[in-house]
Amino acid sequence: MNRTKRKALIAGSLTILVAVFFLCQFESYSQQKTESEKGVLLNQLPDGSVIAVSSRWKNTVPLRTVSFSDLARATETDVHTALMAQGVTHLLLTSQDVYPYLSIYSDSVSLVETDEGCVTFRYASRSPLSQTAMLKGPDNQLGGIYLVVEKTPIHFEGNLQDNIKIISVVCEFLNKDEILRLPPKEIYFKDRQFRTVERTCPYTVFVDGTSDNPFDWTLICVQPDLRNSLAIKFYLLDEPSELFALVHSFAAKDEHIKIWKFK
Amino acid sequence: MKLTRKQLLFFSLFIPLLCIGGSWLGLHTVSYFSSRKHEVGTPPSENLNHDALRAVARRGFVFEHDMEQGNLKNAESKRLIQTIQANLRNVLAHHDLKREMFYVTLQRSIMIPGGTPEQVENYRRLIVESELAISTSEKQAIEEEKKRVLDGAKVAPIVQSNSSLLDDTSLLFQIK
Repeated sequence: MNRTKRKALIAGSLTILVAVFFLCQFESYSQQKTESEKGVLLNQLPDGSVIAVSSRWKNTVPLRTVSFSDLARATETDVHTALMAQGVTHLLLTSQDVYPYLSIYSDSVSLVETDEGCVTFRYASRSPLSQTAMLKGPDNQLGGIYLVVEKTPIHFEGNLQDNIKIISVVCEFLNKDEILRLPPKEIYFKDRQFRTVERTCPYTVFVDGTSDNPFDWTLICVQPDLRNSLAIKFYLLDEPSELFALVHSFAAKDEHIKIWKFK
Repeated sequence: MKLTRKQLLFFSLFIPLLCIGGSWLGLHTVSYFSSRKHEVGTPPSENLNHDALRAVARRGFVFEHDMEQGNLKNAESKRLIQTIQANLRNVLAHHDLKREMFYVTLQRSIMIPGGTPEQVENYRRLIVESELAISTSEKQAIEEEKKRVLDGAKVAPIVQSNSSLLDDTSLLFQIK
């Protein structure tokens, strides 16, 4: 190998090393940037703030934190009483804290059309919610959620711009021998909350409908014992509270954070 | 072909950079499209819908009645001050979405040999009532009414209720 070729080989190898180094730096820089943005936002909290966080939270800010094992599941009053005594001033909830408490029905979406012309969408989950509130016995679960909509994509004929309206919502409880279909107590769709009356099941259903095509929608079901938890009231609903006030809501690296202040 | 020193140096710098840049871009494109694939939906592999088919068929004639129960016409409704759409999206970002789509038809038919459309309709109504009836006395009364509707017909009516999964995924993608 002559000298020129050797030089070219060395230069080529060095270029590869330098390029790999810069690419790694770029990735790590973008991670650090998000972390530092999170730090800046948390540092906006007054000096001496004490934040209640879930036990999975990795503290990277110079603020005192109090770890709470099941923060998202706790209720507003429980948290207030337990944490005020420890001098906590703020609550920090992240999307990752809240996610495990929601049952997501979107893995299978079926358009069910009857011979009488009724068109219904059925949403099912790969891990259906086990429940005993409605039917008793083993293998008892919330098998699916039905939505009847005013217009269906089939009838749109390419025009998907119309505002779609939900006519009815029904939860389907299944066990080996029985089927029970009942409307959920509460439904959230776009900017509206519906409360059904008469015979209902005590579940809350959130409809995430980004487009007007129900095949794209995701349904989230919340069990009755979680309806008043922080995960729902303070994270999904941003519900006004007499004890807490929402002070920050921001996106971090791989989660979205909300901070509520003790009043 | 013999390359000059400048050409050799140029290629030794340019080609590795091009390869690294290309693979970096390729990796990001692949990860982008794989995440897009999850959003758009995948063809059915494991049919979660078997339960749905069984459930729909088992109470076939009362299906509309069940759906009517969840009617939001009578529900109390209020407009929310806060928007929850962004909050839902933030949490759903942690969900590995693998959506499967199906098109199910529910076919139910009643055939009364020599019967009129009115007889068929009345018989259908009685089937629904019978499926919803709780007490034995109610069920017995409905059975009597069924006999009266059939008006002494000698051939028994044929009642069929079944559901089917259309093997037409192209239709679903057209809908999308």
